[in-house]
Amino acid sequence: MSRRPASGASFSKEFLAEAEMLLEEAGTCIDGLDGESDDPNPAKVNALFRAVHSLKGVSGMVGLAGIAEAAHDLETLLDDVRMGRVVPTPAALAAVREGLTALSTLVARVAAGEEAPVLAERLRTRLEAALVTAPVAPVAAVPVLPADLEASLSDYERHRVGEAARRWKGLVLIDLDLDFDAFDTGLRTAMAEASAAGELIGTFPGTATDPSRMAFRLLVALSPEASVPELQEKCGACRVSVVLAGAPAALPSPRAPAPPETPGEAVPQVARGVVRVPLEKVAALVDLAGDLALTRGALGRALRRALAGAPDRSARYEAQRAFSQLDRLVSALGPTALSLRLVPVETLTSRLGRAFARTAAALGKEADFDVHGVETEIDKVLADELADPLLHIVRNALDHGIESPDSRVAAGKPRRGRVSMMVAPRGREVVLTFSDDGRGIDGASIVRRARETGILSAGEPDPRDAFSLLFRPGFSTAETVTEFSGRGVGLDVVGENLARLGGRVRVRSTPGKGTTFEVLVPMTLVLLESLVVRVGDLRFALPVENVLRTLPSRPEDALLVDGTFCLREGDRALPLARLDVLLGLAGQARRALPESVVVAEDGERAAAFVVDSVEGVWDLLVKPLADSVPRHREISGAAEVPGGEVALVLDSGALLSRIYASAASGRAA
Amino acid sequence: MTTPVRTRRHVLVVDDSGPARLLIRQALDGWARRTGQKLEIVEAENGFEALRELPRTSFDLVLTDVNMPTLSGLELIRMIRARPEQRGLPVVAISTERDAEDAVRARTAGADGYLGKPFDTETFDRLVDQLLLQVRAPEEA
Repeated sequence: MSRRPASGASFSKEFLAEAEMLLEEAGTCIDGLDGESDDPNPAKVNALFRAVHSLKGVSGMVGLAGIAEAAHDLETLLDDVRMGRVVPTPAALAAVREGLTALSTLVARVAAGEEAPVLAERLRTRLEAALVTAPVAPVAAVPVLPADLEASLSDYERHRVGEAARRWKGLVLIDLDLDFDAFDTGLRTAMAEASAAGELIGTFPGTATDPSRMAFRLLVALSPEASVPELQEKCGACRVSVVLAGAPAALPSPRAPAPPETPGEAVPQVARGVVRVPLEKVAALVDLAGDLALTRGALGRALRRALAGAPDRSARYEAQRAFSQLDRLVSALGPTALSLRLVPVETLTSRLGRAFARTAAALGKEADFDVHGVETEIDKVLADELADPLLHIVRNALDHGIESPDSRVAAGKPRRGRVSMMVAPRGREVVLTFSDDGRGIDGASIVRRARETGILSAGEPDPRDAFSLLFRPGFSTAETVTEFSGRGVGLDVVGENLARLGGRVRVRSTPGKGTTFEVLVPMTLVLLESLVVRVGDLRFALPVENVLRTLPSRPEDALLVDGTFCLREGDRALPLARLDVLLGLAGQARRALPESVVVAEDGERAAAFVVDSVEGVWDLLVKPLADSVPRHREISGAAEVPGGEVALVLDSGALLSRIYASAASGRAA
Repeated sequence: MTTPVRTRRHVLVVDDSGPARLLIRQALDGWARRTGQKLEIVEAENGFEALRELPRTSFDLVLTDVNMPTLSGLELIRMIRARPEQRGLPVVAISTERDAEDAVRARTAGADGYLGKPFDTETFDRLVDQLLLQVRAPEEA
């Protein structure tokens, strides 16, 4: 029972032809992937994976273990890319290229008559280096699919469905019922059209109307430009049904349930049931997901250490596979838990409606408030935080926009004014638009007013968007100060509050016709479990995932290696630096001596830094920094810590790079 | 009653790689020689061809590569399992050695057996015995 089948001359010629074809195919695929690191074309990645996988298979079959081994190493990396566990960074793509070159060399040597060369070890090392440096992309949960389809998904298909949902792509099913004689033409056409409209995730059996016919069902993730009616038309005799409405403009109404044309057995039923869950329970679930992520981190580190010395390669491979699986599940759990925080924006709009009615009555204005898109979902916390800024905008519209009933009639407008609110998802943001049919604002007079009041200084040119001046502190065009708006708390606070939530606001207006406020906010806010430390008067937060441990600062733990301060950590020495020095805060008045050391890691390196004290661990709502704050690469955002103070969120990768750079320069000195 | 049923058996081999089809064919021929069975082998280069061939012949066994472009082996197995007249047809998924995940995927999609390339004669024969000769009388099994 030889594992090496006899390989005659003709056979190896066939093998060479096939191997060269596969390598060429792989080369074409990777050429197409360059510059697509954010959202690489899944079909190309998959084709690349398949080519290398096939090469492994064929080489193994003809007994070329050396090539099979090298192809296997490359295939493992590609599988990780395909499954979203590794981002195809330029470094990873370069490693893939290098792997392909190595494989070509091996194949060329076989062609030259050399026997089964071995190269696997070096390729593996190079690929593993690329693997480590690539961050892991989170995978979203799989949305609701028909149960039978859901059950038959392969893990790759499942992953692609999750990716599509994560990127707000629409998912459709194309049901084909084809005559046997022409089924392959029909199927190929539909598959080609599906690929043209986005990504063909999988082909499934359909339910044929009679046994002599062939039925198929294609699962497709639509690209944002694709149109469902057009796809329906191009595929010919088929039925296209929407499973998940994406955010693209091509779909008539995002989030609206797609009405099936015929209520038949094959129509997917999207679950519309709603369960009310108290926020604490959701928070507990999110916490659990966080704990799991922590455990995964610890397990991953232990596994890496244990596997580094393991002699059994297949055990190592199995363990790595199992870990990748765990990693994927845990990564999927987090976003799923977070998605439970989404609530329809309706709670917010009904509150705005009540405030509108009260304000109108108090101001003696007659106006209607109508709302569209109340089913749009938004983060619960965001909905709460948005209430104040939006109330301000609504009151503003009534107070400054809508005229008194008499002047409206005099201007030839209906006596009753109107303020319309539209809510719609756009990509990963929610757009809230407030339009009134009031007196409008004149851009030129805003600029004039800003010049008069000194908000626009003499040397400052007119801004391109005059309406942006409305959000400058101190700006008010109100002639009269009313109870509701224009009392100092102006639009500047609205703008600030929205920026704090990662949102922004734009204004358009036509004098005499009305004004539109467009507010854009992210759909979800990210909660990050973070360790908060203090340096002088400043607080910093570091994602708990990146914290190995904290320990009291003791001089005897520090040692000098090559002129660099290091922390003794078991039998390793980690570079040690002071956070205040690193961030250029050394001049800060010190209240006390540094008490604590934080050991941080980014999956690749570890380093230690000294802080004044460790304050605790909290789930923080991280917000991007306003543009006015001078940027440090090491600081990725800001978050409010319980008690109302603000912590700057540290980017562990950049921070570690800085520590290593300063250690290197210390050595050079 | 103890004589094995000696009829011509029909096997469909699906693989996009020519050398792979050839090797599978060789392995099947070897099995037929050793067991004295008669085999008719039909080859298909892709899933579409396979779907076309399937209703034409009453196959006794399908051996399919997992990893094929456009219509993968797993997709093909799903199709086979969905058609009532082919539900009982034994299907072996073939992929590369060490792909424990491929084996699980193939089982999930409805395959009866799994072979890792390169396969040795013994493993191949045992699997084909199991799937093709299961009509043998119980005392002989």
